[in-house]
Amino acid sequence: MAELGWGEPDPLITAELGIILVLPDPLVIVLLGKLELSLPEPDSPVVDLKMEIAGSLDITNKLLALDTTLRDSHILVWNISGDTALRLSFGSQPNFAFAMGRLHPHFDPPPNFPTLQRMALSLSTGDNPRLQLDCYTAVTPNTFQVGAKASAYVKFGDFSASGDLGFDALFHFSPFSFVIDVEADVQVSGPAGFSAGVHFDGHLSGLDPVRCWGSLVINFVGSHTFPINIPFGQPVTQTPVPPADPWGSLGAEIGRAANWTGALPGAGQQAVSITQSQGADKLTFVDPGGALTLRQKVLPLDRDIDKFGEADLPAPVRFGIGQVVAGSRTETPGAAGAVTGPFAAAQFEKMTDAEKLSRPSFEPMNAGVVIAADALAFGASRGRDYLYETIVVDAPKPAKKYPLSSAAQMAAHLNGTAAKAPSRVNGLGKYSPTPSQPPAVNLARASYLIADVDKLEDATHILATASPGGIPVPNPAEKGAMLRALAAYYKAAPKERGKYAVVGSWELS
Amino acid sequence: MSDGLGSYGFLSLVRRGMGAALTTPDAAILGNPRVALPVQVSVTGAPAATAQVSVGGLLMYGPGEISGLNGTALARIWPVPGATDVESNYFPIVEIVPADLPWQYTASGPDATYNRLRPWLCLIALEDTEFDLQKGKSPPTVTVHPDAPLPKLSQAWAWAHVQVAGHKSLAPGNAADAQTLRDQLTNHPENLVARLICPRRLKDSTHYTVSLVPVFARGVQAGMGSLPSDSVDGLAPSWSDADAPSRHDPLMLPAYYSWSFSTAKFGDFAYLVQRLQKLQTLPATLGTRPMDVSSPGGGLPSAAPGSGGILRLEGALKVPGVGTKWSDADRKAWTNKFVALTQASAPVQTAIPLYGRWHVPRSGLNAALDLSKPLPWFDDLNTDPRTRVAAGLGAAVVRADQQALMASAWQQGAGIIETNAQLRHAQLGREASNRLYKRHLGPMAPGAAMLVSAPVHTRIRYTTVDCVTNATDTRTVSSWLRSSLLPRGFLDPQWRRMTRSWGGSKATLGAPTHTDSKTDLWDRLMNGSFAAVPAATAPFGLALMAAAGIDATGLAGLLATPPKGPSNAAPAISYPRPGKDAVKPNPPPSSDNRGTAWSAFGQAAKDLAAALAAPVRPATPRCPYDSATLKSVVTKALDPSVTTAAAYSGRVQLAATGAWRGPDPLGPVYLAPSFPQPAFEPLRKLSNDWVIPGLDQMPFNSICLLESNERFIEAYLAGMNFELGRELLWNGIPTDQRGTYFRQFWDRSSALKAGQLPDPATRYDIEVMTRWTQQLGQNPNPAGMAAGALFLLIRGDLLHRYPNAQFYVTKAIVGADGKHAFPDVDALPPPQEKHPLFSGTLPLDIAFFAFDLPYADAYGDDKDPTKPGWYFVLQEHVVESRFGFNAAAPADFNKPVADWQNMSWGSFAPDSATLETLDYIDLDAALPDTSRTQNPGDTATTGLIWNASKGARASDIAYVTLRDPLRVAIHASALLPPLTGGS
Repeated sequence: MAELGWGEPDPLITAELGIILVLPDPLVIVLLGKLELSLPEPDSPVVDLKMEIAGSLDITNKLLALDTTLRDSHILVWNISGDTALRLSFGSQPNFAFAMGRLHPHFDPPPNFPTLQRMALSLSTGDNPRLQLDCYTAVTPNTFQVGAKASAYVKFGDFSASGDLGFDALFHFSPFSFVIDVEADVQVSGPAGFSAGVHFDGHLSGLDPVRCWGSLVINFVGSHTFPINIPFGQPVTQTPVPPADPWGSLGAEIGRAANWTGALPGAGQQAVSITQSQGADKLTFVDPGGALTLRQKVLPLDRDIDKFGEADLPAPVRFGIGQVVAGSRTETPGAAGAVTGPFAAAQFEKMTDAEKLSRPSFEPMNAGVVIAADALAFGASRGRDYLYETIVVDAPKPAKKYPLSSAAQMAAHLNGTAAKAPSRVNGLGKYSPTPSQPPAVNLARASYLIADVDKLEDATHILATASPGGIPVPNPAEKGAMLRALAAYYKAAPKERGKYAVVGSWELS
Repeated sequence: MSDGLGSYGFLSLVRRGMGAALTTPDAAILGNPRVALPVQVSVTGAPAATAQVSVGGLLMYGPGEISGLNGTALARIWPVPGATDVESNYFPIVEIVPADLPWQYTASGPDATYNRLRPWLCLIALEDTEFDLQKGKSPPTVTVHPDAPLPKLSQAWAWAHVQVAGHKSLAPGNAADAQTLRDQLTNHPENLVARLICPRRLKDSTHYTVSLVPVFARGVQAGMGSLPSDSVDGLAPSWSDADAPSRHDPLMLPAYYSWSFSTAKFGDFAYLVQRLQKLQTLPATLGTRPMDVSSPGGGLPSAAPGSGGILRLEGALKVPGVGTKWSDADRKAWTNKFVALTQASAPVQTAIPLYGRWHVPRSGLNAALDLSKPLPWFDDLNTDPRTRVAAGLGAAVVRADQQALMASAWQQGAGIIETNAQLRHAQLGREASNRLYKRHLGPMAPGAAMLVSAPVHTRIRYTTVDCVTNATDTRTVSSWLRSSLLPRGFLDPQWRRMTRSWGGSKATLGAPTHTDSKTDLWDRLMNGSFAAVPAATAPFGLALMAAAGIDATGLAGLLATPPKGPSNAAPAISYPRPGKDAVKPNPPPSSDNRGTAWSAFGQAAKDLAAALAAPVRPATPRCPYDSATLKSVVTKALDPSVTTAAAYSGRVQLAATGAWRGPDPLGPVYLAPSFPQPAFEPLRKLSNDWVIPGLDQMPFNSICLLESNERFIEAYLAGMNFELGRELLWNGIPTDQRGTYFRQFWDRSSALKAGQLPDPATRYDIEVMTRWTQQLGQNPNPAGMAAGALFLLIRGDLLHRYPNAQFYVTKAIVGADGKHAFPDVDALPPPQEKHPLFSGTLPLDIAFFAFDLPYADAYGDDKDPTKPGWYFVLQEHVVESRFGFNAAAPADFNKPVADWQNMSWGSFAPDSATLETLDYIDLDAALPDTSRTQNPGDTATTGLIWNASKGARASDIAYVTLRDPLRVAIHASALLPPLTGGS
């Protein structure tokens, strides 16, 4: 553990830090430590914060995690406690979440996000009276979440009173919407079972339309409920969005060197240490041993989009990567060279609210291409059979050389140099499953098809009969894609309307 | 490969990825510090004017960006570091995986004719007086003294190549060959290795340090920690050819890796094999070691008071006939105390682990052990301190390797957390829906249930009899209902909304709500007692022919004859009028052509009558369906227990092994990862003494007989499996802790059986633990270690120098002199070979091999010609090829090279004194004289060229410098020690 101090002569801030390095693969840097902050003087602190920190930076899997927790901390005489957590994934599925306290109760936390203790400040030292404040705030790429709650309790003889006041707010940025919940509660109880109270909860949600509803419950000589429902004017018309220019954005992103990377083949282990040479700060390097990959986040390729951001497009457009000339290599990557990335379908397709709800928020769609994935150059070859010289002890040397059978050769390779390479028998990879081992568990994507409503039999083939030239069967067969395909079919053959439905493939079995 | 013989090919280079597209031939100058990568993309769907996008500023990594090399890339180093008696006629080599690494960062491409490309690193060998090594920085710096020899970097391409197993000839322009190589690189990386050769002639009895250094000047600067300036060309060499033989200044180079060894006059493979001796008597202490159990702690008494508090501990290997004893009296007394301790209500602070308790499954040990009968394995394992040690070792190994094990478990079970989270959501959905389903849909009247379920009628199949065609058919409920007596629109949302029990138009109209009147309606409609559209009655004033008793035929008869002449003849047609006289229509007007008019009228009237008589459209025959039956069909199909499970049934895909789940189709998936890596390896890494105690007492260069200790192996693997279950649980991996995650103890991965590799499932050393029924050490296992197997342990210098030496047996033949002899390779019947069942090494100098061959058969009987015995054959490992030339014999000097495969160091100098002055090989030196070299009949050497100036390729140099590997055969009777314990 390294100890750092700040302040003379007694440090006001002390940090004990330990760094653990996991090598060679995956390369993980782990930071463990605690931070103590005592202000204004360490001996009689007004603010005394003790924070424990655990962080890890997994460079191989491109994950950053940082967790902190406050322990035995106080401001003046009031205890303060709580956790924070940061998750940043900067790999192929970029994601980000930061929370102080906790997340909004209605927000579905990202996978592996820890359960956090709320940030709480206890404004009393004993049990009676009691006043506690807690709050949280969290940020994810598409939301901002904030909430606070104050609770008080006091008991005086036979009388006691308690009160809560709090709110939770969740803002989505794109498309913009919000939910704000406010709750207030006062309860008084006295001798002989006397109790009275007022409870209010209100909700405000928007933005299309803004709604306000809630209830007020008064408990005094019976329970009286007053529903609140304030129609908040007309559905808000979205502010007109400027006409979108998808090609302008896409073209710029394709031309940006930073969107091109060199992915190493196979397990992608970097066998060398890379240093950036002089004057190279602004240059983007790719590894010559790997494929050249373009991955952009502006819009999905190879599919019709009729929306871009918030703006509807006058006509659907579809972009794809044709030919790529990289150095001396010319390649038309086609479907096999597609690279996927997460896109929110609602940003690129006009959807009903029901469709939006039934689609996952992000779906893998084509984000770019990979070039030279199987590029290979090799030089002239010259070979020979495996021939062993034989020496027989106490006997003359046989004249003929001994040829090894190919089965014996291949068997020997299984425990030979390359099979027993250090990267395979040491470190975290030494128990790795073989590449051919199937995953133990796989949750396949739900697949949908088109069935006729009369017999409930697979009728996906009708798409091919639509004129002109048929409609391609969506792959993967997601629900949204199937619905769109069926709608296109009805458009081509209006008389067929109502004869088919999109159903889950499991319904036909 | 087609002829069934092992073969290998040498490739001048292999490059993958964008680097493979580099075609600027390797030259002295690139003209740039780095290789730029201009990219042009044409985008479909974009406006034509701007559809071409240029990407600027992309560069490829080159030598100037490489500051070090990861040690894991070095797969093999020859000679092994620290070796002391290396043959001097070979070259030091380094083998590298991945095979394309040596050329990956070179900033140019191979030339089209000779495919020459310098690797970005090379090997230099230096004697102790020729350099200083500064360690302490990464990478360390080698300072090469002035005048110390260095190789010509312009020939660096010649000393690097790729060896690919099984493919003798791959042509660069051939697409099929390229696909073959691609497949090997991706799926069989163990078959490919890149090799760097250090072309320095080694002197006898000299200490050398070999270093892996950059070929390019930018690599030197980056490796030394300074950023190369843009003025240094991307292809400028680390030292010029002119500086190679002699320099006036020291040269500082970063060493990505270096190692040392010394050469000696003796020490080739055959010499080392022949040093092996048979061991007449084994050291008495080999095979067991004492364990003090006089005071085990925890309040337990001495476990073996009868033998001075000592139990003898065994290892994974044991000496035949040597066992360890624990007297029944001691065992019984101690075990009772021990069992009581494990069962105490307030046990010791930490609970004593009961290995295998989840596999049995049992919560505790039997209190009363009956030693007169064989103990169940669980009680035996957990009450015997000796097997507890073995199991504890297994647990210790798992704890030590837990990070790698958990990394692999997560890799094998990737997605299990997400899957189980989804399944939990599905379970919640199922339970919530079940509640609604049972409370609401269940008690509903059939008609009401059918109305409520109308939106999903298109998704429910029903097989019944069509009342019209009388055919049994399967259709959707919605389809059946369309042909029922229910009126159209009855199930439409609008109708349902208007008539729903609560609210709707009923509420608006002030009608009493929440009545089930429409249910009655359903039933009345269905049984035909009520119709939405009643049968039509004739409106007032409408004449009906039917009422007049006239049908179409009658009409035709009436109209057949026109009335004659103008008259007021009574019309033939009349129609009734309710309550009044029938009205008679007027006859048609008379005229001259009345007949024609009449017949036209008559025709029209007939047509009309026919049209009226025909139904407007054929009435659909409508069928009644029993609503209770329909409801049962619908409710059955809507049962959330069925529907929720069905949605996931095909989606949750489990591998044949590694994961399982309980009977609930939405229940969580449990993971049982498997680790086929031999568990022997981590045990050996703990200490060789756990494999066989007292190993250090074994004499050098000797061979002894052992057998495998199944009791120890089962106990050890039980400990590993038990501990891994705990680790899985601790790490939050869904588990029931009952899996047998480790089943492989010995490394049987390359064991040939009848010339082929057997199925991995037949190679496991233990049965699945939940199926263990026998005593510890006696449970049948798939690999089935034969009782009479020949198990040899060898300790020798050979294994230090050649740790991967291969060992197998070849059946002897009876020679001309009546004694055993070694069979010729082309003898008939073909020589019989047996390869080891498994083998292993115990560094530094011990290896063991197990054969399915009885001792007596191997030994043979010199007096019995039917029992010639077997030869032991030790051979250099297939992939551990060596490179160099034959040692110079006096006759070799100053002679042209006659045969490519037998080139000698003598060809490089006119005499031995001149040879001593040769350091690095220069491919363009006057000697050797290869102008007349030929291998008659060997097509593999066609077009082979040695001199760089004449067109040599790296593959040629590899072919010429490869030395054929060696094998040495010794008859078993010359090596086998006497069998201990009789026989």
